[in-house]
Amino acid sequence: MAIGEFEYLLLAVASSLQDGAYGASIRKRLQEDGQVRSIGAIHTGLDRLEAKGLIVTRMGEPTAERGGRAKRMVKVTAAGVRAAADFYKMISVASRDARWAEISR
Amino acid sequence: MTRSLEALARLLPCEEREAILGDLCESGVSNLDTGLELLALIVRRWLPPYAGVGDWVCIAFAVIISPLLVGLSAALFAQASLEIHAGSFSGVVELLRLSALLWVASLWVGIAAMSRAWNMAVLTAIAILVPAIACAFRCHGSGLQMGSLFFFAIPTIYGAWIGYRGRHDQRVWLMLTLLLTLILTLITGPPIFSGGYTILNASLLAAPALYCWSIKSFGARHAHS
Repeated sequence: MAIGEFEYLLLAVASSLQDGAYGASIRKRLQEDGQVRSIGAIHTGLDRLEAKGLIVTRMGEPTAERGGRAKRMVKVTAAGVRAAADFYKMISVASRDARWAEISR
Repeated sequence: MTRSLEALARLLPCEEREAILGDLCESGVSNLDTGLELLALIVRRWLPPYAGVGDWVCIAFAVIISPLLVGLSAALFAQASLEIHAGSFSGVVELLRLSALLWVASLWVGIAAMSRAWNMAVLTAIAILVPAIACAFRCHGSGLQMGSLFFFAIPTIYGAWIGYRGRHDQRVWLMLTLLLTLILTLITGPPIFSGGYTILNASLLAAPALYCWSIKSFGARHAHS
């Protein structure tokens, strides 16, 4: 399953956050990594990934810090892991002799 | 979170609304940013990426044709009062003919609006009615003059109803209105060369007819799909 750059970012962050992956936490992590994205863009991306079967989502428990609202918890599926790994490999292989590959190491 | 933002969020599906408002609340964004983010998401949801070129053409078409229909509708009513007052038989006949042209064109617009996916149809309908509502607010004339702005809205709404009811009815109506279009265009033909506002009416008529016929021919999505 082919994915785009933003979809890869979402998969990577959701995977690293494990059980704590949901809209606000994904946004916070992206922001820390210098990727400022809106909540709407993140949820639209998650919808797309879910439609492709690369993640599954479920509604979590409501919390006080969210004004008593529930979280949409995200879990990367096996297909999602494969798609992200393929994307990572493709980028790594394609970039191995690129001039910027040395700089970014 | 203000009440207006809560009301705005109601345009989103229930579960998604819960998650989005919670995320925005947790992220600590300002009310203004929350409003903008909600608006952006609602637009994303309402104008889905699957909307094809035909959908956008439909809206553009409605935006262009609607003010013309409003203007023609108002002009017809103004002319009608003069002709009836003067007791000119040929003038009244001309008015009836122009009214028929306007109604056929409006009917086409209505059918076109509801021939798309439902969310695009709603946007098209808004694009059709907004110029009339704007003119009504700016118009300081009598109630009759203001009502004339919506003269075209009756067949448009009826056309939308036909479009909503089903493909079979649409085809029958499209055939009938196409036939009427041809007859009226033939009747309207000679005055086009002598100038006057018949040119506008004929062009008004031709655009919706061509557009509707093309979207029918190339398979438009139905409102129920």
